[in-house]
Parts: sequence; C-alpha cells; structure tokens
Amino acid sequence: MTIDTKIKDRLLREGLPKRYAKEKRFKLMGKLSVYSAIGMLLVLFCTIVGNGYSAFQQTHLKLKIVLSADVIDPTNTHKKEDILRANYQGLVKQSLKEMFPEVRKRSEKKMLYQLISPGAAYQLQEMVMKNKNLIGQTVDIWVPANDDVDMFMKEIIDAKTPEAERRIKDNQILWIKSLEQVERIKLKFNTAFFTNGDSRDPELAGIMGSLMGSFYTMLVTLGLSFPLGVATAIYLEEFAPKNRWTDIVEVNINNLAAVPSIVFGLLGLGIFLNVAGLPRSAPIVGGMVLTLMTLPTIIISSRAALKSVPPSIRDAALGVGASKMQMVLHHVLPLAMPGMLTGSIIGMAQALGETAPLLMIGMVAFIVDVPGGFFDPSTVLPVQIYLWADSPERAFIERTSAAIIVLLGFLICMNAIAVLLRKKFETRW
Amino acid sequence: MTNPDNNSSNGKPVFPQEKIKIACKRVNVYYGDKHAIRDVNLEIGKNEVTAFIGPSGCGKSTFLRCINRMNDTIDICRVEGEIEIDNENIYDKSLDVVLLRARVGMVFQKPNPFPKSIYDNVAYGPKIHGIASTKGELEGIVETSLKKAGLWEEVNDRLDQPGTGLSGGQQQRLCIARAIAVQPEIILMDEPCSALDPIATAKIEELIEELKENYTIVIVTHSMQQAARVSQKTAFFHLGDLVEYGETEDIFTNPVNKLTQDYITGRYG
Amino acid sequence: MSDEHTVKSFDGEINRLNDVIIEMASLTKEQVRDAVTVVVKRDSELAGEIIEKDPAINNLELESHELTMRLLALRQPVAIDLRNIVVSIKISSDLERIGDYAANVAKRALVLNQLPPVKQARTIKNMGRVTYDLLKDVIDAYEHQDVKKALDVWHRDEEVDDMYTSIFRELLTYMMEDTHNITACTHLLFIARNLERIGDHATNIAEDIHFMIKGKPPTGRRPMGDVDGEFDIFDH
Repeated sequence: MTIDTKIKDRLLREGLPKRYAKEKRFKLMGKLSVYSAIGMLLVLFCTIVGNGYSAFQQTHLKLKIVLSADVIDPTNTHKKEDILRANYQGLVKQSLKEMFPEVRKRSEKKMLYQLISPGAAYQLQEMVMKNKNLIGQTVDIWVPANDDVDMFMKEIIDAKTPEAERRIKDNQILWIKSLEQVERIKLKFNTAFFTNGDSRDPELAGIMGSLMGSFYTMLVTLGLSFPLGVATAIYLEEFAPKNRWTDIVEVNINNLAAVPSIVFGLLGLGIFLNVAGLPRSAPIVGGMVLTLMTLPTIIISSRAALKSVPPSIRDAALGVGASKMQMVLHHVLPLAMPGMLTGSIIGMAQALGETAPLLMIGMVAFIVDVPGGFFDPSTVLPVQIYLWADSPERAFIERTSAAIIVLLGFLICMNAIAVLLRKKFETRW
Repeated sequence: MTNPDNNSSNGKPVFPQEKIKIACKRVNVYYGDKHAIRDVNLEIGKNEVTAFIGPSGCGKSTFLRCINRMNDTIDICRVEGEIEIDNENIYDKSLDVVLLRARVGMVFQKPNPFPKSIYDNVAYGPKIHGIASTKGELEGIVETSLKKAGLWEEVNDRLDQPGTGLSGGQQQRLCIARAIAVQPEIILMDEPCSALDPIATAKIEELIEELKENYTIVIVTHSMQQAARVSQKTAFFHLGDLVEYGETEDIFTNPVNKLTQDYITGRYG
Repeated sequence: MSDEHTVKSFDGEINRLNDVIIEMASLTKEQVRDAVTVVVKRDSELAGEIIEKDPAINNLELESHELTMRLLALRQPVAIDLRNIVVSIKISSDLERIGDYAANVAKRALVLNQLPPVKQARTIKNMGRVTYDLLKDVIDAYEHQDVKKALDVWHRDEEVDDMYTSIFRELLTYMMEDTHNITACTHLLFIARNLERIGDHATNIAEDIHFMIKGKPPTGRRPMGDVDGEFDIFDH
C-alpha cells in the first residue's frame, strides 16, 4: 500500500509540531531537574559555609603576664614537676586584675576572669615548659577568649537583647570595648581548631583528635578491604567455577551491600569487642567494622572492572601460552585497576562519612587526647560532628559546620583523586 | 539430494604419514546440550595453509579453537575424540596446555595487541616461556619476529610506543609477530582479516604465503575468495559436520558435494 | 541452473549469457544447414544470404565476451558458475569458427555454381546432414544440460571423420580420371574439409558441455560404463 506523496507530506507536517513540542518539554524537564539539584546543593553549601566559616577565627585577648619566679618556681628547684604544678591560673587572673584595677567586687572579679578561656592557663604552662628562661620575665601573649566573648565579638550575641537573657553582661561588654580601644582584643586565625582534640570548652575544641581517628580508621579499612576485596573479586570472576555455590556467594555479596550499616556495628560489637576482646573506641576495631561495610562495594566494583576488560585481551594472553594467573596479573588486573581504584575510593569515601556502626563500638566517647595509634581510643570526624551538634553551647554550632566543611573537603578530595586515577590509568584498547 | 556423509570422504586429501601435522579423529564438541561439532575426521598437512569455510555457526571457529584447547576456558564446552599433533594427543591428561599453546600460536578475529608497547607485545611470549635468557637475545627475537611479520620496517623506530596506536592492519601483523615470537609450529588464524581493509588484507595474505614455509597454518575465514587465494586445502563445515575437505582448487572449481557447491556459489539460503 | 542464487541479479546475468550463446548457436545451426543446401541445390542467392549473415554471429560472440568479462570481474564466480562462464567463452568461439566455415562453404559453392555440376554432390549432402545433426544435437545438449547427448555427439564425430576420408579418396580418384574436374573437386574437397572441421568444433562443444556439468573432460574413446550409475548431483 502506498500513500500519495502529497498526502504523506501533509500528514508528516501536521505531526511535526507535536513531536518537536514533546522533545522540548522533555528537555525542559531535564534542565529543571538539573537546576533544582544544583540549587539544593548550593543552598546546602551556603548554609554550611555561612554557619561554619566564622569558626576558623577565634577571639584572642592580649595579656601582659609577669612570670614571677616566686609563683612558678618558689623553691628554685628547676624541677619539671614543680614548674608543671605552678598556679598559672593565678598569673592570668593577676594580669587581668592589673589591667582593670577598678574592679574590686568579688562577683565582678569573677565576671572579669570569665572573659578568658580556661585554656589560657594551659597555654601559659606550655610556653614556660618549652622555654624555662622565660621565668622571671614579663611577656605579652595572645590567649583565647571565652566562647561567649567570642560569640559577642562575632556579633552572634546581640548587645540589644535584655541583659538577663544575655550570656555576656553589661560590664563585660564595657571591658571588651575598653580592650578593643587599646587593641588588646581581636579575632585571630583559629589554629586550636586544627590542632586540638575535643574539649568541653568550644574555644578549645578542635578536630585534630577525630581527624587522626578517621585517618587511622581509614588506614585500617583501606589496608584490609582493598586487598581482600580485590582478591575476592579476582577469584570469583576469573577462577571460581560457575555453579550454585558461587551463585549463592554472589547473591549474598550483593545483599551485603544493601545491609544497613548499623548491623555491621552490632557485628563488630559482638565479635571484635566481646569475643576477640579488642579495645573499645579504637580505630583498629572501627576500621575492621568499616571494612565489613565497604567490602561488598569494593568487590562489586572490582568485579565490574574485571568484567569490562575485553575478552580479546584474555584470549591474546592465553593464545601466547600465558597461564591463567599470568593472564590475570599481567594483563587483566592492570587494565581493571583504575576501575577497582575508583570503586575502592568511593567505598572509602562512604566509610569516611559513616557514623552508625561506629556508635556501636564506642567510638562516640568524649576523647580529649589526639590518638597516637591504632589501639588508642578515638572518635572519627562524622562522630565528632554528631557530638558537637548535640552540645548546648552556641559556639559549637559554628564548629559543627566547620567540621562538616572539613569532612566535605576530604570527600571532594577523595572523589577528585578517583576521577584523576581513572583519567590517568584509563587505557583505550 | 543424498546424504552428505557419503561424500565427505570422497575428495579427502591423502597425506603420506610424514606430511601429517595435525590428525583429528572423531572429534565431537558439545556446548552444554548443543552438539557443536559432529564426528570430524581431518588431517592437516605440514607447511600448508588449510582453510575452514562455512556459514556462521557451522562450528569452524569452535573446531579451530580445539586445536590449541582455547575451548578449555569455556566452562560448558566439552571436547571428545582425539586431536594429534605429531602423533601426540593434545587432549591427553599428561599434556600441559601452556606447553601446547607455545607450540600452537593463535591470531584472532579482532586485532588484540596488549595495551603495552610494541616491543613488550612481541617480547611477552618469549619472556613468560623463558625462551630468551638475555636481554640481547630477547631483542633479537623481537626483531626477527617483527621482520617475519613484515612490520619491522614500519615500526623499528618506535618500538616503545603503544601497540594500540598502530593501524588495524599493523595491529594484526603485530599480533602475528607476537604469535611467531614464541616460535610455534602451528599458527591458527580465526578470521584474521575480517576487520581489515583490502590493502591490509592483501598484506596479511602475502604474509601467510611466506609463513607457510616454516609453519603449518590453519585459517578460518568468511571470505571464500580469501580461502581460495591463500590455502592449499579447504574444509567446508556445515552445522557441525565436515561436509567436504579437499584441495582448494577442487573445492572452488568442482566441489563434490551439493551443499559445498551451493555455499561457495552463493546459493546458500 | 537448478537452484537460484541468493543474489538474483547474478542469475539474470548468467541467464542472459546463456541466452546469447543459444541465439548464436541457433543462428550458426541455420547457417550450416543453408550452406549444405547451397552446395546441394546450387542456390547462389542463398549463398549470398549466408555470407551476409556471418557478421551477425561475430557480433553475438563479442556480446557474449563482454558479458563474460563482466561476470568474471563483478561476481567472482566459482565452481559450477565459473565452469559455465568459462565454457561459454569456449563455445562462443567454437560457434564463431563454425559460422566462418559455413560462410566459407557458401563462398566455394558460389564458385562451384559457375562450373558444370559434379556427381559427388550427393556424398557431400550426406556428410552435410550428418554434420548438421551433430551440431543440432550438441546445441540441444547445451540447452538442456544433457551430458548423455553431448557424449553421444562426441562419439559420433568419428562418423564424420570417416565420411571425410572416403570423400577425399573419391575426389582424388575423379581428379586423376579427368584433369578438368580438378577445380571443382578441389573446392568440394575444401567444402568437405570445412564440414569435417565443423564436426570437430561440435565435438569440442560436446567436451565443454561435459566439463561444465561434470567438472572434468570426458575420458576414453568409448562410452563410459559408469555414466548411468554415477551419482549426478545436478540431476533433479
């Protein structure tokens, strides 16, 4: 059956606008969804950065401190313990008193002392311990201000709110103003945030502890899951016979990838802590639990990478008489490596952001010290964020966001490395 | 129409004992339940080019891959019968497949150089088999193999460049050089020119002609003209049966079997 | 051909070639028949027609060659197709030669007609008939792909040869008897010779037909005993 050319032409023309309209609508919807996704991401980033960027600065006070030998080393022993035990708190208070001699009342004095962080005394102690020659001299040092002062300086606490509802009182504001005039109070870069462990005082709390915890945990996870995952994938893909048994293994690996991560935490609690008796809150256990969690991801991505190596390469290797092992090691593995690495890094990124299973094995504890090894108690970044988000102090809000920024930074870096690796090692065949 | 089996033996070439390189006796191949090759008896002569032709899925490639046991890699594939190379059954339990493949090289349909340098491509086989003991010896093998494959002139100044960067025809000749480097006795070629243009094809055919002096070559091809051009003996497979086997000249001027005739003259429906 | 090619136009071209050969054959057959008639009936007018028609055969030969070249270049024929095409070339040149001989017979007849009649025309008539039958049968064999008929022609050629030998002797005797007969007898001798050559070409064609169908030339001088019982793949 043939249609007259003219009729056919007319029919086609009539249908054309409808077809193009459909295509336009589809494109529009696609664009809309992309833009809305980008928009949401932007909102997320803006909120976090907006909340968090201020945490990278911290109010400091400049104090003139007389490191009198009478206070620090009254018996002139030069012994370490004596110097360590000296009343540095008193020195700090003395310095404040000298700055504001008009403050007499006990209650006012207390308010005055509250301007300074308790960390100031430790800073002083550390300084003296490092350089004993300072004893007997007078030094000008910048010490961190209390978190409330910090919040006031960052204008998060508003002076216009009634005094009773304010954490900073009227006379404290006066003192701050007078210090400002002599430039003895200002915002400085918050090094403590990057070098300190956790603390109850927001101005002293830092992410170093959790960062190191995350580092050790990731090291364990990578060290265990990558070789294990790759070896499993190679065995399953290249060597294992295809039978019911390997089918079951495959199905189970796929299922494991979908198991809620907290279940792995329970497993870790049950086996690594209770049966094997490994230490609580330790990166080694955290790493093992996260290994369980990331293994399926790595195995699945590695298998996919192995599958994507064209069979012609295998044929070529076998054809010249390579054994199966040589074929895999010399040809298939190098070609599959970028895919495996990408999968592993994405798995690691997932593990880096994981909280739930770590809660089960006690990595949620409040730990001040920066961990020095795999068996030291520690937390990890996401758990630290969770802990800070729970804290009542106003100053922890910005620190929570700042920690999130750091975590996101790490994740972006890891993904960038994954992309770079893929670009670099990708071979066309 | 008569039973093709009656005629399959009619034109079969008879070799004197010392001319036989490969002797296949009652070879049957199964893919799971599928009977892919039925009772094939075939003798392949030394220093000759033998072509396997036939429609797609007739089993010619499967049969070719039996000769160096490439079918071992397929789990569901089962081979019965005997294939003897120099009177030694290659399906014997005592025979190591790696050693077999060092004796029987293979060139595949799609040029498949390793994504490594040209030098490494050719040197790989001798390296893993330990054929060359020194670096100089290895370099010598690479050079002679590339020369034999007619590629030396074109690539001797860029041996360190990736083999995948060559043109299709050069890649295929590189694959032939790689196969030659192991110094095999037999070279199997599975449609080696199907991905190449006519000029590259002609070069490969010329190469096959030269290689015939030193190697026994078995080639599977879809191009009947190619089979006619390069081979001395031709075997026609159909649905797993060896329908006709004989001198290439006879097959292409006066085939005995009607199936063969219909296939080669283009009457195959 | 029994079966058709997957590519139909291939069949078309081969059939066209075979048609040209058959057309050429029937034309040649007529020429031979008329040439014999000219000699027997001393019909000069018909002789002229024969000479006029000869170039037509040559043209057909050229056409068949063109078709053959085209098929060889474009189709790369093998096996039966290849034999068919190669045989076409040979048959067409055989037919062309036969045509030439027929024309030559006609030319000599024109000269003979100027001379007083000779008795031997009768023997020539017999030989002409036999030769014509030979040609007719071989053309039939070609048209119907009939090996048996072709073989039959191949064996009957001897008959023509024998006739030629006897005519030769006879004419020799006449020439010795009376020297006035020499001119006419020489022409008759050549006519007989031409007919004998036509027979030979017919035999060639018979051989070609055998090769085309069987893939090999006929062997021996006697009918092959196994012809009937032989498995014939083209028998349908």
